[in-house]
Amino acid sequence: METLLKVEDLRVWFPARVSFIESLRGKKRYVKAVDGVSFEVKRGSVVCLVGESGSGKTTTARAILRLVEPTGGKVIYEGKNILEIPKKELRKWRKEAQIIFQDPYESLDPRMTVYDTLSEPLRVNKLIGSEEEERELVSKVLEDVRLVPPEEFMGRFPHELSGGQRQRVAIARALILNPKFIVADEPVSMLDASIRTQILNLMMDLRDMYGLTYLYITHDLAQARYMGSDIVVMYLGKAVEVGSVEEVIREPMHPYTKVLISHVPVPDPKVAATRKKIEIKGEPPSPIDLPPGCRFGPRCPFAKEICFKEEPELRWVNGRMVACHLV
Amino acid sequence: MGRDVLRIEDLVVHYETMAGPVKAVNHVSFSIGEGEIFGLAGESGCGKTTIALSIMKLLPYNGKILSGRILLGDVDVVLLTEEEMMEVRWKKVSMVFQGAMNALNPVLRVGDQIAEVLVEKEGWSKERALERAKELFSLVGIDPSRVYDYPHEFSGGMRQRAIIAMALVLNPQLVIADEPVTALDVVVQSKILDLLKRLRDELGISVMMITHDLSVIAETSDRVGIMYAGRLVEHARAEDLFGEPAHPYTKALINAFPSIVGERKRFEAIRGDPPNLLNPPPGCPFHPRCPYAMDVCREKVPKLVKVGEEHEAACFLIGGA
Repeated sequence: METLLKVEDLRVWFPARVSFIESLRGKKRYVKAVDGVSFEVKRGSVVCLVGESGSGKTTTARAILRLVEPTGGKVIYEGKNILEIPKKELRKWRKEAQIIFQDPYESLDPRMTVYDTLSEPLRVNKLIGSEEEERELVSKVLEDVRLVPPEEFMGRFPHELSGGQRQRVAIARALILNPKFIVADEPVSMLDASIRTQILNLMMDLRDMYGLTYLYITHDLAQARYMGSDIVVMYLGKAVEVGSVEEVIREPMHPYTKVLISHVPVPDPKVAATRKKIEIKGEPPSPIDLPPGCRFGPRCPFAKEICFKEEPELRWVNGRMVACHLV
Repeated sequence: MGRDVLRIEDLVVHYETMAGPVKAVNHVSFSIGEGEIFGLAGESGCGKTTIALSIMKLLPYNGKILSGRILLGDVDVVLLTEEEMMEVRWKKVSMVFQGAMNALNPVLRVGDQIAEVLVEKEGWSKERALERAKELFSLVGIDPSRVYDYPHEFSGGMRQRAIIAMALVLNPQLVIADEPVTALDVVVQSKILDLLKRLRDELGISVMMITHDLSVIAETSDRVGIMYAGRLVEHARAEDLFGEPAHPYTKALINAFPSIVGERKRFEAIRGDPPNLLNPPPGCPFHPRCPYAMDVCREKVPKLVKVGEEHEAACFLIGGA
């Protein structure tokens, strides 16, 4: 498969507050939300960004779409660096790349009908000649997300829809411009269990129908395994392990991935009783004033002296990328 | 398991609304044994939190227990006055509310918030109450010296531990935990679940674990009840429920949770949405979404019938028509 998108050394730093005295001395401090993340997305694949809250997964995705301005790095899409496109030419990129947000209760305008929500992107981009054409496109996309018959849903407002139906509308809105690349930010975490599978299966079907490529953000490794072909495990703004989902989950190499996987609950009491959890101290430190060396060092059950001195680089080990001195 | 700490018999709870009564809990019965962790699972709106609030008698003003009994030991809390309930809450049963870790008073020290219960309810001196708070902190795995900290100095996991410590302050026999790990990260989540199991082992308390997440149930519970649209549709020992689920809804719900172990395959989703409890469908509440629905399912409500040892399910496919 060819590479559709390549992220190289992406950095997003937000300025943090410094005291008045420090500001006089010209001191600056940053929250390094994303600090040197690299990975590749192959055409037609589903790459999952996985990590705990504050690991920088959402910021990474937003920076790729330029919904936040990155501090540095490159995002190469079909040979072009997205980060160098002038702002006024961004509209073309926004047509190619869409996002589905986490909360369908907040991401839809409560005062717009389903029809207005779906036709607005067409109008903004001046893609349609006539009203019939517009109606036809809206109808088709509603059918594709299985809100049928479409006429029944076009006139409804978000409050007249269930959570699952709202997320279908949000997906339809992302699809209506015929994008190639979609970022899905925890698209089912606000939905009930029985609705989740519907939406996950729908997204997989749409990938085949529309020839889509997904960047799928989730904190749930089981969901990543259900959806993904590749996985990027993030910790405190760094990618610590990048590889095929199956391989990484079966045989994690980075200590953080090992810890994380050992703590994922398993929906089977027999298996749950036999699994061994790897003990770990504390919670992730603040992304301001990071410790020298490996960011996971202070909590790592396997840390050696070198881990507190040198920051490990992401490098190739047996077909995947790992950032750890010990592998 | 010892004797029952909690027994609920034929409980019916409705909420009065402008549009009519919302039938939140319909003829639910189950019991929780001494030292047992009982998982009550279901999707939002299935009535699981309403059951917890009924046990605590903390239903909102428009919530009414229409019939049934809630026995804590020999006492039926349905019959108790508000004054009598003061002797039951905290002492016999306490509750860890959903999101309570974010509801700690930000301007009071965490230790004082725990001690307050003892000072107010039991008339203890502040010093003695703080000592007890320290004891509880070390029990739940927080350094006792941190009773003097404010909530913002605690991480999410520590706040949840403090809330659990608070629930234990007057030695209740039963702790109800409503979605205790929902907003927490994976590693913290697993540590809190381990804590609840350890407290059960060390103190012999019973825990009623309310959650939408079946993997949380699988990690902790001895027995499980599955609720759908205000009804208990199946209950069993955890290994039987996951190993041999009987109700089509239970099967579908288990399938809605992908796992990091086992075969990787595509699950069939349940179609449609859960019903509106203002106007629930006639017959079995699951029939509009059930792939196996028969004529009888649209007419009559199935009763719980025995499927195995300590295992019952309410479905006409199993029997009971």
